[in-house]
Amino acid sequence: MSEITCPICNESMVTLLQLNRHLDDAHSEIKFVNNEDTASWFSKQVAKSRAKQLQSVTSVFTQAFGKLDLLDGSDTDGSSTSLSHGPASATKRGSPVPILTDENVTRKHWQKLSPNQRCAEVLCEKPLSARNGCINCRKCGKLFCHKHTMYRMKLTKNAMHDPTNGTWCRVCETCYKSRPGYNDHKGVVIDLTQDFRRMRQPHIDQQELNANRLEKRLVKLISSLSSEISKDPGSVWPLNRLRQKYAIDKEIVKWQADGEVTDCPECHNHFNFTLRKHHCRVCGKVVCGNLNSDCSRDVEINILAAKLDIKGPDVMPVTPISTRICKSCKNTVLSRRNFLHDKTAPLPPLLKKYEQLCHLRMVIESTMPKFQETLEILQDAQGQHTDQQATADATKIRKKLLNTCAQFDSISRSLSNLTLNIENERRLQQNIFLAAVHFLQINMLPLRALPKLLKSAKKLKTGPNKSSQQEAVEFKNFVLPTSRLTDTEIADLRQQLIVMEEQKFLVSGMVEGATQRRKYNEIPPLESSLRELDKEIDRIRCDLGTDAFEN
Amino acid sequence: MNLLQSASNYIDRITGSLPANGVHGTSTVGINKNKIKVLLLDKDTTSIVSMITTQSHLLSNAIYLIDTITNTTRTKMRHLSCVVFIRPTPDSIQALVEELRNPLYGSYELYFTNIIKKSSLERIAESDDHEAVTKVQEVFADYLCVNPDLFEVGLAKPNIFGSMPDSWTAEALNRSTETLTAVLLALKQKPLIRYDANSLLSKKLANEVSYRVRQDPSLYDFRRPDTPPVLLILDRKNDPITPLLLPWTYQAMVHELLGITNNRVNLSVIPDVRPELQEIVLSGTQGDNFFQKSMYLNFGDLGATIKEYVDQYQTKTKNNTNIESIDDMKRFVEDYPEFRKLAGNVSKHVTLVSELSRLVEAEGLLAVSELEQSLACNDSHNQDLKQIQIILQSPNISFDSKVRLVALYGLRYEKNANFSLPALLDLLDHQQPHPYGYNGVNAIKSLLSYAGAQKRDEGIFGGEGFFSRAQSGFKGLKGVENVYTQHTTLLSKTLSSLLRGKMKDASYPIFDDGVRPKLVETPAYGVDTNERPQNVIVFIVGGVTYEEARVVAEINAGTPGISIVLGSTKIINSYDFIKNLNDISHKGLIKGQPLTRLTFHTNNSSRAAEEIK
Ligand SMILES: [Zn+2]
Ligand SMILES: [Zn+2]
Ligand SMILES: [Zn+2]
Ligand SMILES: [Zn+2]
Ligand SMILES: [Zn+2]
Repeated sequence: MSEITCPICNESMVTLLQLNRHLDDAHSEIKFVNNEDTASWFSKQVAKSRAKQLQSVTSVFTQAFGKLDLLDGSDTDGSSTSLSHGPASATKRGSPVPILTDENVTRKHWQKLSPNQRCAEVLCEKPLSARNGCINCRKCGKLFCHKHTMYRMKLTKNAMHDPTNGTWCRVCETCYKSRPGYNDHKGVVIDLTQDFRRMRQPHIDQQELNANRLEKRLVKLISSLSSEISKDPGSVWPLNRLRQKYAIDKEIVKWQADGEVTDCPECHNHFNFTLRKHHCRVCGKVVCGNLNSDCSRDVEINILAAKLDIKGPDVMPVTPISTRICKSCKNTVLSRRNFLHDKTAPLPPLLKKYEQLCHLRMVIESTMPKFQETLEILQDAQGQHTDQQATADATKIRKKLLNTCAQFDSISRSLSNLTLNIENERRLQQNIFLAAVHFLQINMLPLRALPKLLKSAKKLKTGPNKSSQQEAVEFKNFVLPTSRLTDTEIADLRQQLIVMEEQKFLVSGMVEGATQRRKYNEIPPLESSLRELDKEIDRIRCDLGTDAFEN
Repeated sequence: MNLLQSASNYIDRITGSLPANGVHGTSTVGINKNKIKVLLLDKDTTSIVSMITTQSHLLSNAIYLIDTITNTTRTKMRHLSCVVFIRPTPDSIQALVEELRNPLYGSYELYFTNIIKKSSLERIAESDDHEAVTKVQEVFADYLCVNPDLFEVGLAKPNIFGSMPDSWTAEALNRSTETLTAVLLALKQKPLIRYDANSLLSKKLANEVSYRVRQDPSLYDFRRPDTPPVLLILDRKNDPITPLLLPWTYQAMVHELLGITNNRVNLSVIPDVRPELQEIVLSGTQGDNFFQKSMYLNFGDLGATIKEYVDQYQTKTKNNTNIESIDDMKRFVEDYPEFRKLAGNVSKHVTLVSELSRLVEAEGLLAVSELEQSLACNDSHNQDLKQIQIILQSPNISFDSKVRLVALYGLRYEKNANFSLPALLDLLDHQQPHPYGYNGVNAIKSLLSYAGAQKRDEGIFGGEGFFSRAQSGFKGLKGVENVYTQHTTLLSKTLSSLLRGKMKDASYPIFDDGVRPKLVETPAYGVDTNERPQNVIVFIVGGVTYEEARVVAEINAGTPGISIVLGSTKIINSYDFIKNLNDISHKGLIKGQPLTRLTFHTNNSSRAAEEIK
């Protein structure tokens, strides 16, 4: 790879990419001037890379990756580095050499070349030379290397961008990429909300009109019946009183003639001896009374009254007085009410707990930056002079955070312990809990740093500090909620366990290696890591309990 | 142009992680952030969303429930608000209408992936008795975003051919048109449309897209570019070679040898594979940095890179186990989630690459590939024929490989005086019946009538068709060049001529929409076919390969100021390609003469095989 020469002019090159570019630039017009040489040279290159290919495919993979488990650390020497081809660089195969028509564009603003001039691209800073190129961006006028002026834009005589009247000019990357709209990734969005409302409104108005009309009738019916009841509730109404009720019912709306209908308008079943005709007391239409299809239903009037927020009868006879209402009337009058009612009903326990979590989360999120600030101050001062004030502050904030986190944790756990019967709600519960655990893990971890920090600072003076250790223990107890693990958590813990065990295996390998190489000074820290790992593994196993093993 | 960023932007809008336009910032966002949302999707949008976002991202936006709109077992939770994201198909609209008649949730925001018919919108409005809908928007994420520069239509049925191989099925044409217009709107491009002159399929699609753009000019009224973007519609039949060649780059190899479906790879076929690796996510768009860096590496470089990756992991592990100082601790804490992800990722890629390596060895793919490349790039009939005959006899070479080789031979030497395809087909015919249930002989006959020399109209390309080896011998001089990747895809040459402003008008005419002024009248408005485009959208009718996606990514990375996105009806591998040819030969769409002798292939076995695959 180190010896590359151009097959046509024999100029030596450093990389294939460079050669490629050179060929495009210098020889793009020449076609097979030296056909035979080129061909043989090419086949040599191919043969060379083929050998490499074979080697890499067969040897690398059987040696290093033949075994599935690569994490054993046994193959850490760089045996295959010689096989790497370097980065697979993209070619500029398709790149057009710009045809530029920029004579008319002003050059007054061009930067003059001074000695030791470097490319104006911030991250480039290549010295400008014949080799690297030395080109003025036609727009901003600054000097750049070749690579950073490979862009084209249409400019006017005054070197301003103008897609309509400009001519093609060579410009720098910054000018190209800062043209308006370049970084606009907001695709087209069409808002139809207004149109939708407009379409919906007449329908809603109509609906409301209907609902009002039906509701009025229903109110009237209920109040008539209520006053009839209040005359004398009785226990079981005799036939003549039922006739009276029938008369009241019929006053509300004109009933449809039985003869007009042969099929129930709701369920489309044919009326016959078993499927009898009934009249809806609100609209007067004939419907069936089949309880399965729920086409119409006898509803007790005090229930209806409660739904409509009006006064019903004070007392009810033992056999309650009810009235028949069809499905369509029920929907028109009640479903909108029900909907609004459900929306504003008190939150169920799950959502109540969620709201508490949200509140605590906001508290934690707003306190955390303050804590990290004080932590940084402490860390800067570590070892030399412990800033008493900062320590006190940090401890105080940390305590507050710990308390809030503990609260958060206990609420999220009690949320996950709620017994829910509906599958959808259980899924909701699981997902909220999952997100809560994740949130806690991320936010609790920085809190761990402080006791360690204080411990190591105090060690210098007074030895180990009990209270901070205690806190650390407390902390450990609720970092990972232990009760009733969800499947996702189990999977999560198992993954952690795998990682930890892989690390343990790795570290044991390193201990062995160090022993063999007689590097005894490396062993103690490794062994202490091993102990820590063991502890961690035990802890995870403990959390997992019987779930540690896959079923 | 970046398909991923545009799509993610739409998703952010839907999930509410974008602050509402201009409304006083943080406070409202903070409250919305906590409001639990239910996300209702349909079959199509489920794929769209899963290609570009993760569950944890959705969770972090308080989307705690995701469900399909057609699922009728959902229960009433009217304290929650709902976000509906669906394609405006009749089925999804019907489901939405029913949902709104009896709303399960307290409020609804509706997002459609494409333009919704006025009549459909009216139906929805009329079903919203409860005034539960608070927002209705059309967003144009109506494409499967595979890579930032690669998209797929996501057809329900793979076949796109109607009654003839040069006609569309109504569904495929409609879906492709909708996807393409959505891509144009998502990327804000109003293109000049060019198409393969010899392809009725391309022309038809060009016509549909152009019609939609003309229907709604105000929608496509974008900031004027220096030069109009080009939408180039190509037909697979003009390059039947690329899908038949074994690719040697990571993403392409995985698709060829194991298959990628909606970013997922099924590894359960590997013996003793760990349970968590039975199905893996291999995404060019979500969070897998290693894959994003290595997806275009060739197999040799990939080996070295994955070795480095393992080393890097080991160094990291070493550092992390050795927590001594507070700095270590802090680093560990900060790295921890990243670190755990890394651990999972390392084993995933190692498993994947080991399996690829095993398949290469076991199926003799190096020898196969070498012969394929020779067929594609050289003119050595007798030698190639001899080699094929040897390979056809060899027991460890898979049936798929044999079919590919004979197919390549058929395409390559169709005009050769000693053309001996019948003899090879006869040899192929004596092979073991194919486990995946397609008939290789029929498929090859079908291929020749679909994309044979006459259909390809090779005159267009002269001697520089897809068979010519890396033209001047220089083109192939990349760092990764070798005998297995000599062949340059036709797409690479086509794009090169387009970007140089040298594309022939006769071969790739500009679709005449009757609206655009002619060159002579206003030169600035670019019917100037010699002007070099800066933004190009390529769409290949009938399938695109990951090899072609790599070519496009390479041009994007190496050519300053050029942005290309590539799309197709489907991302195919050689199996998809051949299987489809076999299927259309069964439907009698292509006038080959299917051999009556071979009757082992029944519909049942093919369905079973589909499932196996
Ligand atoms: Zn030279
Ligand atoms: Zn500039
Ligand atoms: Zn530079
Ligand atoms: Zn009925
Ligand atoms: Zn009624």
